[in-house]
Amino acid sequence: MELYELTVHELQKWLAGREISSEEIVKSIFTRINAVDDRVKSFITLTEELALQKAKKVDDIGKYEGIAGIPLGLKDIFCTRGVKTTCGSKILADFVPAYESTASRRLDEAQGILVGKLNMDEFAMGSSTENSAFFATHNPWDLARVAGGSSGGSAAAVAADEVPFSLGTDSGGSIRQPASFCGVVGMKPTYGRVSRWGVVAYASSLDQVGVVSKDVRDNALIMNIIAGHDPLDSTSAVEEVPDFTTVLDGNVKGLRIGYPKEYFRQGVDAAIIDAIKAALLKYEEMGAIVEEVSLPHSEYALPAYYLIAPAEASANMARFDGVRYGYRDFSAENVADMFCQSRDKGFGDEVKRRIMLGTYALSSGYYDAYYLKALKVRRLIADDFTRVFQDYDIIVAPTTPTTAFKIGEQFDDPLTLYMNDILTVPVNMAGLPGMSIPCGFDQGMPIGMQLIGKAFDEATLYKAAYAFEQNTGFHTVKPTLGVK
Amino acid sequence: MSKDYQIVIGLEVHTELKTQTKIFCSCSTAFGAEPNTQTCPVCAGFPGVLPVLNEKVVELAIKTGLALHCEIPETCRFDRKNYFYPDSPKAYQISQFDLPVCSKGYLDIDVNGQKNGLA
Repeated sequence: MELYELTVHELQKWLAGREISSEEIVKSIFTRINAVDDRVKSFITLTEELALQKAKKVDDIGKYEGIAGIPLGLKDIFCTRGVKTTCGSKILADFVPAYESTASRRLDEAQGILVGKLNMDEFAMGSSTENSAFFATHNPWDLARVAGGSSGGSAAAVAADEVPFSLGTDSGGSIRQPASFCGVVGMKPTYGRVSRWGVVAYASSLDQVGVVSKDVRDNALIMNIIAGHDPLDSTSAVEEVPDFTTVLDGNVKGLRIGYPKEYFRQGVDAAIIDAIKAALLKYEEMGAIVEEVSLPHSEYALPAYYLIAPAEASANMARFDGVRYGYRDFSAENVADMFCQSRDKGFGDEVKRRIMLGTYALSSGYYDAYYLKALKVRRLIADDFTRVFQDYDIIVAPTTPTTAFKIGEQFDDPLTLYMNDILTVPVNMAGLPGMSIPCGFDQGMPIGMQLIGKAFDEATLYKAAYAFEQNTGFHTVKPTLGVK
Repeated sequence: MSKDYQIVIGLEVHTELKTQTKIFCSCSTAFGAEPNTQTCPVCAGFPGVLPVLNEKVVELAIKTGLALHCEIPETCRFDRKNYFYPDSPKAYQISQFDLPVCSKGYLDIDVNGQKNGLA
C-alpha cells in the first residue's frame, strides 16, 4: 500500500498516530503524479515547491487535526492567490489572481495542501474536458476515453490516485458526470451551500462548488469544511451546516426512495439501467422503501438549460475583453478591434457558441420567447421535485445515459455531447443537492448512480450513499491506467 | 417657438450617496486619495469576484423614494445592462430595470406660485 492510494480519513489516522508525516504524503503524491500524469493529464499547473514547504510547516507545528497536512487538488476555476488560474482558457493562460476563493481559502486555513490546479473544459463549458485550451484529460479506466467534464481533471486525478480529493464545480452535471465516468464520489450540494466567491462564473444561477473524493466519508468531511455562509457571496445560504459525518451509520431502514420513470427510458444504456435497478434492489434489501415516481417535466430541462446557462454565460464572459487582464491581441489598431480580436483569438469554439446562443436568447424581441419561457419551464421542473419530495426522502437515478465515450468521438457533435447532461441538468435547474457514487461496471467502465435530495438535505444523501457503498464496495476497485 | 410643438422635457437626475464605501464592495469613497488606492478586484471586474450590495445604499434609496411619494416594493431586483466599453470592467452595469427599489413617485414644485406635480 502506497500513501498516495489512501483516503483522507485513512491519512488522518496515520498522521494523528504519528506514523507518517505530511511531507512523506506530499512526496508520495508527487511520485504518483510524475509516474502517471503524462498519461492521465489531470493537471494544468503543479505547485510542488509550495506544497512541500507547507507540508514541512504543518509537520513542524505537528497539530494533525481535520485535513491538516493532507494534499488536495483544485479545478482551475478556483482563484488561488499567487497561483496561475486559467479556467482552461487561452484568454486566462497567464492569469495570476491576487485573491483566494472562499472554498479554497477554507481548505488552506484547515492546513490542507494544494498540489495543483486541475484541467477542465474552458470556462466549465463542456462534458468531456476536451474543450480545455491546453489538452484533454484521459479516463484512468481507459486512456482512450474521456474523463467527462467539465471537472474532468478533478475526477480523473482522484480516480488515478494523484490526489486524495479535489474540488470541482457543477452547473449542469460537471461534478457528477465526470465522477460517474471515473468511478469516484462526486457531490454537488444545494445551490447556495458553498460560497462561489473567487470561483470564475459560468452560469451564475446554476453554478455550485462541490467535492470529488474516493469514498463517501471523505466527501462528507470535506463538505463540513467548505459549506456555510460567506459574507462575500450574497447567494450563499444562511443555513446551519450539520456535521455530515455523523449520519454515516449504514442504516437506511424506512428511507423512502423514489426512482423517476423518466430517467429509465430509451437513450439510457441497458447496462446502466440494470445496474441502477440492482442498486435499488440492494436498497430494498437494506430496508428502504423503493417506489417509482414521476418527474413529468424532465424532458424540457435540457432545452431550457441551453437557454438559461448560455444567457448567463454571455454576460459573464463579457469581462474578458483584453483591457485589464488576460489575453490581448496587440495587433489591433483601435479599441473596438482590440475587444473583438482578443476575444476571437482568446476564446475556444464552445465558449463562442454559448456566447452567441445566450446573446441571441437575451436579445430584445427574443427575450420573452426564449429566456423568459425557459425560466417558466425551470419553475415547473422545480415544482416536480417539490411534489415528489412530499412523499420521498431521496430520488435515485442513473447519473449519465452512457459510460465514458472515446476521446474525439463526440467532439464535433455538440448536440450529442449536450445529451450527456440530460439526467443531471434538472437537479441544477431546481437548485437541489445531487451526488454520484460508483454502482457497477459495463465492459470495464464505471457506472454512476445519482442520488438527489431535498434542498439543504445533503446529510440524507451522504447517509444513503454511505450505506450503499459499505454494502457493495465498488469504490474499492481501482483503475489500472492502461497497465495490465 | 412654433405652436405646432408641445414642450416635453425629461430629466435624468443623478445624486451622489453619502456612504462610507462603494455600492458593491468595501472600497472607501473618500475624496482626494491617491490614484488606485481605493480600488479592488470587485471594482475592476476580475474573474470570480462577486458584488455585495451596500445596505446603506438601499436605506438612502428608500428614504429618497419616500420623500418623493414613491411606491416601495417588498422585493426589488438588479439587472445586468450589457455593453462593451473600455471603462466598463464587467462589460455590464449592475442596474435596475423592471423591479426597482422605488418608482411611480412625484415631486411638487412651485411654478409662478402654483403647485405642480412633477411625475
